[in-house]
Amino acid sequence: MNDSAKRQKLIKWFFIISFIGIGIYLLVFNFFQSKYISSNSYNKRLRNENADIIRGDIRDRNGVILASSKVYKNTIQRNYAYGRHFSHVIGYSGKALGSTGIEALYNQELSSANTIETIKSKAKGERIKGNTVKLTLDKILQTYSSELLKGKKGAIVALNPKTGEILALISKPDYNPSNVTENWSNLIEDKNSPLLNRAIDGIYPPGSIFKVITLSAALNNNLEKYEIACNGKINIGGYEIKDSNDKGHGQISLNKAFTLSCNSYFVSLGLKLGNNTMFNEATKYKFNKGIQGDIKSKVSSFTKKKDDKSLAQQSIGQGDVLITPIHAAAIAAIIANDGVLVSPYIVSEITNMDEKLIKSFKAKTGEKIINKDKAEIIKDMMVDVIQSGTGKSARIRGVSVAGKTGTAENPHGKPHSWFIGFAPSENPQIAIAVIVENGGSGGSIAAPIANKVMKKALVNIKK
Amino acid sequence: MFDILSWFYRYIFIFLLASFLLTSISIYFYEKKQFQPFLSVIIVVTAASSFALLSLFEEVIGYKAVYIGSIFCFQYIITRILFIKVLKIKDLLLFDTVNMLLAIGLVILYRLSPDYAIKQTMFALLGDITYFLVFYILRKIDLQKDYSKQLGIFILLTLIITQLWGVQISGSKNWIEIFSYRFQPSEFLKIIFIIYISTLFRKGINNNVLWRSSASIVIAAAFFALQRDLGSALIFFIVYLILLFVMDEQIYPTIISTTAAVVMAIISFHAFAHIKSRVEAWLNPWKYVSGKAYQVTQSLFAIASGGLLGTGLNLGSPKFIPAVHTDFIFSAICEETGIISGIIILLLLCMVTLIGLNFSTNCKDTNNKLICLGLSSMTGFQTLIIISGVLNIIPITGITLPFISYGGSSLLSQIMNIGILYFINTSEIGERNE
Repeated sequence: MNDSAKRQKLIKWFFIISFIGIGIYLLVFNFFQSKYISSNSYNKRLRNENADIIRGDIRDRNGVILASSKVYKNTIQRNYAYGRHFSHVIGYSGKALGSTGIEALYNQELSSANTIETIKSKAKGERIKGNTVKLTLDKILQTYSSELLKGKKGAIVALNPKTGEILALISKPDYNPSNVTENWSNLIEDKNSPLLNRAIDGIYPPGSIFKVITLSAALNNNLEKYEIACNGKINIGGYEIKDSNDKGHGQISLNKAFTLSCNSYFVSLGLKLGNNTMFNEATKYKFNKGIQGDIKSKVSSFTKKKDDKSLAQQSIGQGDVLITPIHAAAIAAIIANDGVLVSPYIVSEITNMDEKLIKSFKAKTGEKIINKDKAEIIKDMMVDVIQSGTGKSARIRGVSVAGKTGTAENPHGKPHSWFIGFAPSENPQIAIAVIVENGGSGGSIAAPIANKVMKKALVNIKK
Repeated sequence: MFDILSWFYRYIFIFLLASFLLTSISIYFYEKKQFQPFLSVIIVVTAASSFALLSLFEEVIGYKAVYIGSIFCFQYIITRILFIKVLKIKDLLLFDTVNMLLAIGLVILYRLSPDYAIKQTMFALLGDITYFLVFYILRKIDLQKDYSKQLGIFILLTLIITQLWGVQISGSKNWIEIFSYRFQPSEFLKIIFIIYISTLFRKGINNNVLWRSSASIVIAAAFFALQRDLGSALIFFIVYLILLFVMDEQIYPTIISTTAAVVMAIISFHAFAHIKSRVEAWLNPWKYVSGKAYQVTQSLFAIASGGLLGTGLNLGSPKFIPAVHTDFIFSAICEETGIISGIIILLLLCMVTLIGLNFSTNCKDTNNKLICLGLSSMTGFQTLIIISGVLNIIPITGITLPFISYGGSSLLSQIMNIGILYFINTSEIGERNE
């Protein structure tokens, strides 16, 4: 065979591989992307109502109806039983505006039914009910948490750290899903962006809750014995970072620095670890990658920088590092779950109108982020934060709570108040992230809210 | 009632497509020539059943659909018989596959707008005549002679005429109007260009040949850039590179040309605003979802909404995509007849390309070999480029999907392409037998 014939053969193989490659891409597209693409609110198909099918129910983990449709004077009305408490999670569904949230993501399932049943009903000219989507959310916990955040701006995300089930997902300010169409212009012009689902799409500076990751990096790089003398501030090339109240902590160890959230210590620790190590640790914890779940969230970011000033800020969760509340909850869950991340998910089952199971979504197998022994050390330190540190206001009598507070400086006024944590520390049932925008210090605002939500969850949630 | 029928028909349609694919694979790879008649049966059944379904869409029976379906089947059978009897062609797999694609195209076009389907049927009838014209003309011409000068001048003149008197339609000034009939010279130039380059290359590649050919491609590309016909420029370049790659004894001319092409692509990205905006739309489709990426995101919505089986003919909303009947017809197919159908169509077009490449390897004569190689690579690349475009794997370029997209010039030039492939193949076989 001469050269030219060989090359012709090469061209042939090029075509075969490319064509089959695109075919495979189409399949991948269908199985992994099409759901998220077709639920985009710019897809005009979402506005076409299927006239023969009454949109199915959305229920909570115990079967409580959260959204349902019924025929009223020949028009189908969508009724949201708990209105504002679920506005962002469930979203809305309307002819003129399309839909968002679960209404958009599971539009296909809600507006279709068993093939044979549909044909039967079409032949008879009757309307039948679409499939039911069952969520992992708990109605009681959701409404309770929603009340706690009422009138504030912020988000709460509560997860089961072992399974990844999302128990509550709150974003405030909210809106009334029943009359979105009427209020549309007000809603989109509102400066507080009530339509934004802050729990998954809000990105915030994490502040001191990021110290969990700096701490994890220190443990992974054998710096657990690192100590400094803290005098209340630290100077990096002319830029000064202060501790809260400008008070020095004196000679301070890793455990104590974490418990008291000492900025000087963590800045100096971050600088010792270096840009690469910090960036890699953040990436391990899914910064710049995003946490994969059934609802897509914005990707938290940790920008790789070269200078010390940026690194100093990043080490304490300021500057070029941003996080979504759901990601913050996932970080708490990783520590709670012995260093293993189980992707959060919100839809547990799809059933047809006779409550026969069509599809069930089980927890994915987790991904190991850090070793169990390292997670154990972080956990103990997080318990200390609640026992004797900045998070005392999250204490629950008779239950060992673990947590970390954050007070994130930002250009919009008072600092954002953060809390992440889980309980009970020996056998975690709930992991949580709370953010109150411009709320003030984490220990005084977010921690008490988290405390109440965790208490409620421990009493209330059945496995 | 139509809903239910159309819903069930999805399965039948996919079954027909899949059996066509399997039969043609068994013929192509396992030489099961006895299966050939099955292909004809499947084509006729597909066209007849699809148009029967479409005719039921309105309350009154749509006679247009019935006519188009019958005319298609009729022209297919007649042309096939003439192929065997008059042109003495035995290997009809290529012809059958092309007609299957044509049938699918007509069905989708009718669904999008019956007027497109009516015109496309007329182009198909013209196409049948084209096959025989190609054979008639090529028999008169001695392909062994060196026509490169004449061809080169012809290409240059056509490009100049298009540039001077061209009509601008949907952003590209690559149309010519004669007696109120509009056509795209670039579609036919592609074929002539392949013959031209093949004639240049047939005696091997030396510096002189390399200079002449690369000057031609650069000039042609420059004209296409002026006419905003990005797709044609790309196809010309790729086909040129393929021919060069096969003929090139040292490898460096191909590498240099490829580098030059990449450099030109980068320059045009910076020089032309419309290219830049397409690249931006490709990189960030969701950012520009209501602006410059509108078309491609609508295409993704369509494909995503159809799923594996599709919504059923007339039950989806492919018309949300601008230019769905030409460049974006693949998205409409995926939405209404399913991604499985899309994949089968992709594989059928792959088959068309491979058969052409086989014709090329069977050629003794270098000129013929190169022409076949160029023509079939063109079909293959056109498919790859436009399908990757509508899937947003690469930026979108205005190229039609061979045999399926609406358009007289593109369909006729593609049929001409097949006609030339068949002519060369039969004449090569004839020579061997003598």
